[in-house]
Parts: sequence; structure tokens; C-alpha cells
Amino acid sequence: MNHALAFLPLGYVLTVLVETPILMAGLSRHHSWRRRLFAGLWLTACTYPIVILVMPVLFESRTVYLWVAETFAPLAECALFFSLFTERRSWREPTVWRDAAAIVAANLASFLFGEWIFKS
Amino acid sequence: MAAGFLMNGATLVVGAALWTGLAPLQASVWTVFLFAGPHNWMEARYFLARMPVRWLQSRRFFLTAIAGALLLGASQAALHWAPQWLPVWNVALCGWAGCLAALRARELKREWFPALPATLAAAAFAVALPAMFALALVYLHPLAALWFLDRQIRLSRPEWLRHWRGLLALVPVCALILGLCLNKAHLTAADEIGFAIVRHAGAGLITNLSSHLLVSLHVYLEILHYAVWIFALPLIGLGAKPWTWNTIPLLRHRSGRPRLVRAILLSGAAAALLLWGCFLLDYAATRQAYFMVAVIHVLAEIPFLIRFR
Repeated sequence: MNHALAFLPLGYVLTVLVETPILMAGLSRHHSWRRRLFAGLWLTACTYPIVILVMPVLFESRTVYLWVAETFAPLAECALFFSLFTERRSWREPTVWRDAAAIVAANLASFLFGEWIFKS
Repeated sequence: MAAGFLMNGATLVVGAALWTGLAPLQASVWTVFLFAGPHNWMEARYFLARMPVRWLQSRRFFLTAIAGALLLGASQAALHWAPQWLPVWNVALCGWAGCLAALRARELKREWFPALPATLAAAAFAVALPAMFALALVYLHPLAALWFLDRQIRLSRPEWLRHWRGLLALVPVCALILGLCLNKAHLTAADEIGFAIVRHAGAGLITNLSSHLLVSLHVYLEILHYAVWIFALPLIGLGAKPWTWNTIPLLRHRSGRPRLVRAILLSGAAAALLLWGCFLLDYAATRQAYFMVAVIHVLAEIPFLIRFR
């Protein structure tokens, strides 16, 4: 656990570096550049400590941990993002789906990057 | 006045470091015996003086603060018999503090979301390393007193701020000197009280620092904490002698709660006297019981820390 704690700041920076460009490019034009940058920093700051510190305590199997963590992170980030920036948009609007897809893609990219680091 | 404050403060900061470095166990025994009760009473006195008479838009904040402090305080005492619930208690504490920060932000018409990452990170740390989180509270709590004093000086003696900040810079210097001098020295606790003090300072959890250093650092911070609450804050923050109660808005104002305020202050004074008596009868048992319920005063500080940022 001490290793996870020591890795937390570096892991956070790496995750932000991977996810923020995807969010900058992927989030709909509805959001300003400033907001997209904020999303890159803030969403990861909210979910990353839970994924890195809490989930390994709860799930011993790495496979189960990865499934739960990689489902939790995009879902929680979508919920947080839309709780802040819905601005009365209906879920049927394409921009909402595009935002959700960008968040999922950003998380998928950081997961693949993390796995690549883990295996190499 | 500022020069006197600076001189006395510097003497205390350096003197406390010397005392806790040379005789940490004795320093711990004496400071808890002498100051634990009075400092709790002074904290209650200070917070009552700072409590607004009418809560108005802060009603939700204060109700959440009081309910949370009571619930968490009561459940913390129960942790003594069910320590496996510590992670849950820690998360509840983080959630409560996060709620208070969000409520305060709403009162000030600010956004709530900046507090969320810090709350979640603290909660994650609290679940992953529950005992370490509890130990972090033990070490961070004395520092809260320095924060209160900083806010109070900024409010009522802004001309002292430069001197105060200089004095504050002495604290990490002294702590660093303690660290350099004591990191190879180990304490040998000879009795039950000594073991309790060493354990309380986290010697069982932090293995790469010497037990002597941990106890010295902890007692050093405790002494500063007691000094701030008993001497510095009453001197500059109350606007009256601590035993002059008619300046307390909650007591003086027509819509206040004079009976409740008097009851809290009188029962607090009686509890401080009782604590002294119990310490004289059985120091070890009283110390253990005191630290089991002392979390209430730590919890009481959190809403005011959030409010007077």
C-alpha cells in the first residue's frame, strides 16, 4: 500500500497527461477550452485516489480489480462531469453522448497506457 | 506589545523543543496533566464567542456541524471495542468535512466542486491506511491551533502578522533540529504510561523514525497547541478575560442562549477540575479515557476551520 501511495502523485500526472489531450479534442464544442482543461485535471483528481488506494484493498484478484476500477472510473467521471456541466441539455442531444464517449475514451487510453507500463 | 509577544513566543517555541527533546515522556505526562482540561475549556469559550447569535443562512451548516460532531464523537468512543470499523469512521469524517466545505461554499455563493478531490483523496487514504490516517490526525490537529491563531492575528492584530509569521517559521526549524538530533535515539518506556505515550505518537506504525523523535515531535506540537489555546488566543481573540462571559454574543443578546452557554462553560470548568482529580488518582487510566473522548474537541475545530478560512 505504501508503494501505491508513493506512486499516486506520479500516476496522477501521467493519467492527466494521457487523458487531457483526449478530452480537449473529444469533448463537444459546447465546452470552452478552459473547461476541457479543467475536466482533464479535476475528473482524474476525483477518481484516481479511489482507483489506486481503495480498490486494491477491496479486490484481491487483479482481473476483478481492473474490471471494477475501469468501469467505476468512466461512470463516476461521466456522473461528475454531467452534474457540473449539464446546462439543461437533454440526454438525447448528440453533444451529451459525445462528451460521455470522450470521457470513456480518455479512461480507456489511460488504462491501456497503464497496462503497457505495468507489463514493461 | 508585539515585541513582548515575539519574545515570549520565541522562548516558548525554543524552550518547548529543548524540553521535549531532552525529556519527552516527562514532558508528555506533565503537559497533558496540566493543560488538557483547561485547553478544552478555552476552546469551548473561544468557539462560543465566535458563534453567531442568529444562524440565518448558516443554519444548515451549523446543524450539520453539531450533528456530525456528536455522532462522530460518540461512534469514535465505540471504536475502542470495534476497531475494525475505523475505515468507515474515517470515511464518515471525510464526508462530513466535505459536506461542511460544500455548505460553506454555497453560503458564500462559491462553487462546491473544488473541495471534492481533496475530500475523496482524504477518504481514499483513510480507507487504504486507516491507522495512518488516524495518526495523521494526531499530528495535524495541533497545527490547527496555529492556523486559528494566524486567522485571529490577521483579524484583530494585523500589525503583528509579520512577527507572528517569523515566529511560525521557527517551528519547522526546531522540528528539523529535533529530527537531526534524535533520529538515532530510541526511547525505553519503563511503565504502562510510557508505552501508551510511545504508541500514541505512532512508534508502532512509523518504523523508519526513532521512537524518541516521534514522541518528542508529538509532545512538542501538543505543547504549542496548548499554549495557543490557553495563552495566545485568549489574549488576542476574546476581547475580554476568559472568565468575563458577558461579552459572548450568544449570552448577551436577546435572541441568544444564555442558559445553555452558562451551562456549557460551567460544566466544562467542572470537567476540567474533575480531570485533574482523576489524573491525580490514576494517571494512566485517566489519560487513556481522556484520549478516547478528546476527539470531540478535534471534531469541534473542523467546522470553525472551514468557516474562518
